[in-house]
Amino acid sequence: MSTPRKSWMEIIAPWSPFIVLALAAAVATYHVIFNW
Amino acid sequence: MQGSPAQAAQVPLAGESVGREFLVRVAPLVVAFLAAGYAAAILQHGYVPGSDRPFPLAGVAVPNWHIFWMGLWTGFTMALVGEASGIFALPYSMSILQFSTPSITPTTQILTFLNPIGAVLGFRRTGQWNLDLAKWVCLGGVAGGLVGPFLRVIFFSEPKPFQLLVGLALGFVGIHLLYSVLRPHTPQRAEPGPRASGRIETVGRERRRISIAYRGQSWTLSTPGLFWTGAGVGVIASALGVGGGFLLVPIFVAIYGLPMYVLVAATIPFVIVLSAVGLFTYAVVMPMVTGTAILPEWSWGFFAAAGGVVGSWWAAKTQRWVPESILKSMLGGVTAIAGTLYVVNFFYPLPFKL
Repeated sequence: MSTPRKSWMEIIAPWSPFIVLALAAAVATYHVIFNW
Repeated sequence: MQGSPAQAAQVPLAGESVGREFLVRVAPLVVAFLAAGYAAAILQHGYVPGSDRPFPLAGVAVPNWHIFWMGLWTGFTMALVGEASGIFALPYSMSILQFSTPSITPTTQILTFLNPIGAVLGFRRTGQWNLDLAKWVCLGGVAGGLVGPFLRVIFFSEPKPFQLLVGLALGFVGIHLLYSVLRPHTPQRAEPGPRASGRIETVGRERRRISIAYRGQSWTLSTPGLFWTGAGVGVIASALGVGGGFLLVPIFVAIYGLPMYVLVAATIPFVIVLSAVGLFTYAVVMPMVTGTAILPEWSWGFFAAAGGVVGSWWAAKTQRWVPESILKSMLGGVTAIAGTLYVVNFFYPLPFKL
């Protein structure tokens, strides 16, 4: 019996906070370097 | 907004249904807030500020997508760990986007006013709602929201004392997050899981007391106690320009012993009421008393709220798969460090700009 395949959203969901935080840090760094 | 949006709409993830839900429920709200942002900019300033032309009250030029993005990521991460987005958006606006004029306070309150409205409508539908419980805290919030803005003007009008206040609030949030990882809430208070449901009933109403019940448990609460709790939190939160959930939820858990499912029925309406009263005080009451208004950057608030809608919705969809303790440790650590920097900078100026 095979296990049901996970949807793409279930795969990215646990990672999404860390992706979002990494992006937030990158955008903030970019803004500080080029806009201050 | 405290943990609530994430509890309001937990459904299994399925690609198409999530996409459809986004288009039907989330996208119209995002479009409406963005449209309101552009309209507010034209009405308030006669043009749309952004990366080329600065926001006049903020004194900074920031692309509008960046404000949307700030609302999105703060709304998302803070909804996941059950704290308000305002307490993250405020220092980000001050220190990264350099919005340090007093207008930052009412501007953030636009975000804390608009973001929880979707959650509260969901609570009404599911019965996670009790006016007797919410009423007294909200009345306290009205009183606090009328007083707090004057503290902001009298004691915290300069950036540095205000940063000290924000630093203390951030330190509290950081320690609270780290503490909740080290000492997870014990189950003796029968805290229901994220998919809990059921009505919160009023089972007794006396002159100075109310009794509420949920799933066979009941709590008797002093109404003056609820009022003064709301008023005290309201004063601090409206001086900062946040919703106040960051203080109210720990108080409800620690002092009143209420489970999260029950307490958000009071804290979410409180955040909305306090933010509205705070905005009203900054823009209307204050000029009548002092002759000077502290007006918000309306468009900034709407753009951030548009991102916040997406962020808190995505948090509701993904919360069950998110490793909460790792996230709480990370955010707790970052928040505590940011708070410490603000506090240290007040006493010993740091060699870099905050």
